[in-house]
Amino acid sequence: MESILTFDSLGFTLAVKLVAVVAFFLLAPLVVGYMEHKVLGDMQSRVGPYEAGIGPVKFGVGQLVADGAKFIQKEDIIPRAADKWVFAAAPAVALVPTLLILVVVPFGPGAWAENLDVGLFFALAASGVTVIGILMAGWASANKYSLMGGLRDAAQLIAYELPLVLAGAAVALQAGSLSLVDIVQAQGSASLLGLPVWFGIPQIAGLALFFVAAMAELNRPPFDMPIADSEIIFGHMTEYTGIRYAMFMLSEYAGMVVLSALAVVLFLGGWYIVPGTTWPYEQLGPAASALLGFGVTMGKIIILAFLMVWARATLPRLREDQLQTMAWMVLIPLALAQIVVVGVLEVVA
Amino acid sequence: MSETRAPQGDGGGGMPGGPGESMRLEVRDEEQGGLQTQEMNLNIGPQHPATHGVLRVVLDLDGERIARAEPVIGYMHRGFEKLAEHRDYRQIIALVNRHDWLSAFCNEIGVALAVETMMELEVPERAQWIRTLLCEWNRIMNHLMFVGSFGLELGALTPVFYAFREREEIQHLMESATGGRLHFTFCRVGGLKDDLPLGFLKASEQLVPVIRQRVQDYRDLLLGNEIFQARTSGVGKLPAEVALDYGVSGPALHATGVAEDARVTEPYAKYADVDVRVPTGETGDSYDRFRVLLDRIDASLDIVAQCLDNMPSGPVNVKLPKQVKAPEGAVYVRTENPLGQGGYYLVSDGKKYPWRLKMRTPSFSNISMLPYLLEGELLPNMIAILGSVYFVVGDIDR
Amino acid sequence: MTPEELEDRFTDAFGDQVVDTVIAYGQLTVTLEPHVLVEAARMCKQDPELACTFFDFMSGVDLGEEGFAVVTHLYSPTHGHHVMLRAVAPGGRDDPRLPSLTPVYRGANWHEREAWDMFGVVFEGHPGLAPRLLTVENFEGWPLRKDFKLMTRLAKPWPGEKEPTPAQPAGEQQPGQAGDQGQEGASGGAGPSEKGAGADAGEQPTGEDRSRAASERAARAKAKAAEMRQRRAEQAAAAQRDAAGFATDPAPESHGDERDDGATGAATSDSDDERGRP
Repeated sequence: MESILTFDSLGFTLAVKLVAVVAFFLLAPLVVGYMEHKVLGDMQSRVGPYEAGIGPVKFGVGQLVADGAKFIQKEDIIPRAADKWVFAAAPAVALVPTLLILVVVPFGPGAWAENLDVGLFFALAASGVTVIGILMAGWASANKYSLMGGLRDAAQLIAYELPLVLAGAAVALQAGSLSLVDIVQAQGSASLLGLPVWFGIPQIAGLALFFVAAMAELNRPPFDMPIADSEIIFGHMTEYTGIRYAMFMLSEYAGMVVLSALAVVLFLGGWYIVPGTTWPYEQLGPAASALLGFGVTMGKIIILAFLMVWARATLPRLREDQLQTMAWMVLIPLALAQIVVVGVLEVVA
Repeated sequence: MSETRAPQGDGGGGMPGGPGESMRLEVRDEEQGGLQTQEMNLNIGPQHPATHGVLRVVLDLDGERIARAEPVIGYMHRGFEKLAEHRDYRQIIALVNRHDWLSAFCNEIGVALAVETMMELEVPERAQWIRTLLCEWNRIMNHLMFVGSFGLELGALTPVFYAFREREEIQHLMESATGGRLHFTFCRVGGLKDDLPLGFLKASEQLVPVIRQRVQDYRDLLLGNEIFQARTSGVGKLPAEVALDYGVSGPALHATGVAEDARVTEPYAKYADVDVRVPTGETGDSYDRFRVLLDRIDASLDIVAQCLDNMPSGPVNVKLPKQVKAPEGAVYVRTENPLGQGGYYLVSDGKKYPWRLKMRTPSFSNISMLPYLLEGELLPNMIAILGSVYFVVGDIDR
Repeated sequence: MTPEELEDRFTDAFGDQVVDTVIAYGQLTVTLEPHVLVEAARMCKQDPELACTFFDFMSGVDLGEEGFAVVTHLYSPTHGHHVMLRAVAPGGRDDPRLPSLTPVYRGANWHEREAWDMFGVVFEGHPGLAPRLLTVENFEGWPLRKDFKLMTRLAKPWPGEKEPTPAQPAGEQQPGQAGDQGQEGASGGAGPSEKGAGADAGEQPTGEDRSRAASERAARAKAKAAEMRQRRAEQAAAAQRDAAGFATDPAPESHGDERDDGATGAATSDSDDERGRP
């Protein structure tokens, strides 16, 4: 299956894909961010953003746009003791991997930019690059709090990249492919003991630990020790202002979208609506099915992102060593067991 | 406090070897030929989210483990004791409710009691009951603040919003009686400024079950949470004898199992006529301190209910001479303030100004104990300890 | 134990080392010779019948010429009795010294640092009194000593001081007086030069002078009331012309906050507003 964004002219195709990915990259975090504003507000018995709007539509939908405009206007401060080039480059290094993952994530039948044969491998590898940006920020800020935040983040990523990759590997094993598109399509006909299911049911443990590891990798509460405000101010972001700070925030929310999208693709049937069937995509034309698929995937992404927000409103923060213990003593053995189980099932079936 | 420690200008700024860095280096060779490590000197505060105010804690960190901790105080020293020597007794009341701004009324009553004791004034019954009532409302307001902030420091965002919602309701109540939101200045030597406004008792009565229900919500939301338990239980264990040695009081002392409470052992106002329950803990860790804090809200609600049942009618003030003068001598009065034991040592030379007014504030003694608790702890545990010792920076520095 | 029983315990244990005992308002204060202070504290803590394990507070008290006393309040949570240990620091006002209680009570550490910070009482055997605990590191002087003047009171008298009071003996601190003197001359300009004058009665007007001056001021105030209104308008105009504002009327500018403070106090008279104006 070809991407619907493919045209005769290679240059035009490239341009369209680039625009589509960047537009999604910039807009989807706004949606998730707005959802977080309102959901958090509701859970904390307050209103949340209310006045800022876009045109006649109020209810705070324009809040994040306004925030972005504010960040752009702010002074870009680089501390005198900072390592200037590293300090300036760090937000970009943290941001770009998220953008790269979006290239391979399929949002609907034909609604992807690129269908790599090693899509899963590419996505998980790219997500690991973010930490380099964070370490750069932590080190170059010339601030002890930043340094501690950067180190905590690195330790956290090493611990959580492993369950993330192992959970993904189990899925690839069951789907028999590393291509994310193939993985979704394999779920159109997957079954467990004769019942039609998506991979999330037989691999429920994998889904859970993928989700937990994703939250830990994104520094979302309750795993936000690297930016724990009551301990180390704001970790690697302590010295950042203006647009560079906004880029870090964008990478967090884009990361929420991207990792939720990966979870949806790997475990929750991608754009499919009912397990065991590809209905109604056969009856629709390519454009309509791509659009519907995109909507369904986005819906699932929002639900996962909502869970992350819910956790933020409810849970206190873990301690760094408790997190490490959890990763190495619980999640990684669980992930390995998951692979064994899936492997045995695949051989037997 | 070691005198060799070079003060650092900025909070956490400065890297090892960075420009303009004056850091005390303590290079240790690992015996097994490992990497050379050095302790990092870190200033928590004076401006830091965890110190809610301007407390500064100088840490020597080995990785994330605290090798040495030294609180540095005095950033908010406002010289209350000196100022009090230049004010007459009525004016002092407007002064003492400012150092611990979360327990304004409980502080006012202490000075009033000291002067009344020296002048041997008989305070009217109704005034005493109202004092008891307002003290307990103030105590609940204070505790709610710390319930919220402790959750916030542990990374739970939501409880603080709920706590402020409840606080606001009590705040309205206090405002209706006193006209103030923070510094009530409602207590007077010999009684109170005014009687309660109409509807105050009824509103109080309606509020009691509401707050009681919501305190239960906090229990479910925080005490029942596994992460909260993992973060707090066993953290910052304080043995009872050490607590007493340092003069630690209030929830931090009760959590160690010592039920020392001035409301019970030496009742003032009308505490002798009400049933005061003093919740205690067992291990004296952060979890116990927080549990005691929540239970104290419940206990205070009980007292509020009893005050409402027993409220007599009558005058709320006595006629004072034109100049209030305490007779020559010295008196010590202690009250159980929300944060612990408040002491007022009043030395009078018989004039209209006090000769010396020493305010023994709970936060000062509680914070002086910090180096004992912090040494050897992890940095994140410091937050769980700082947040559960319950202090107000103004109360430390006066 | 009752205060009387406690008193007996101390007189039995320390004999003539007990300088004085006072029982007032049901509270015992034992004044001891300084050299037995640590021993007494240790007895209070370790004797099971006393068991004063709770270190409540420690505080200095200025005794005037005699120097400084330091009171230490101990409490027994098991028995519920209080002991106030008191010792007058030898060395007078110049070099007050007392033994440190830190070997007995850990809590004494900060309280002794505070007493040193506020009164300059040196505690021998304390692990480190410096740096100053509450005041700033390079602070000079001992703020709670009576000869340490409250600067705002030197610059501007406390309004509450103005109501007619009986004459007070010399040696007593009269915060308002220095300010009164300053008022006549340089309108709020008097300041550090007055420091330390409080103990010297010769430089200060007597109480009668002051009350006479006060009534005169009140009379003048009535006469001036209408005039003042016009003058204020003129001053406001002058202040507008002169951006700095200091040339015309420095006193209200620099001490405005004290004036607000006074308004919350009990005694603020009509003539108050006119002080410090030419």
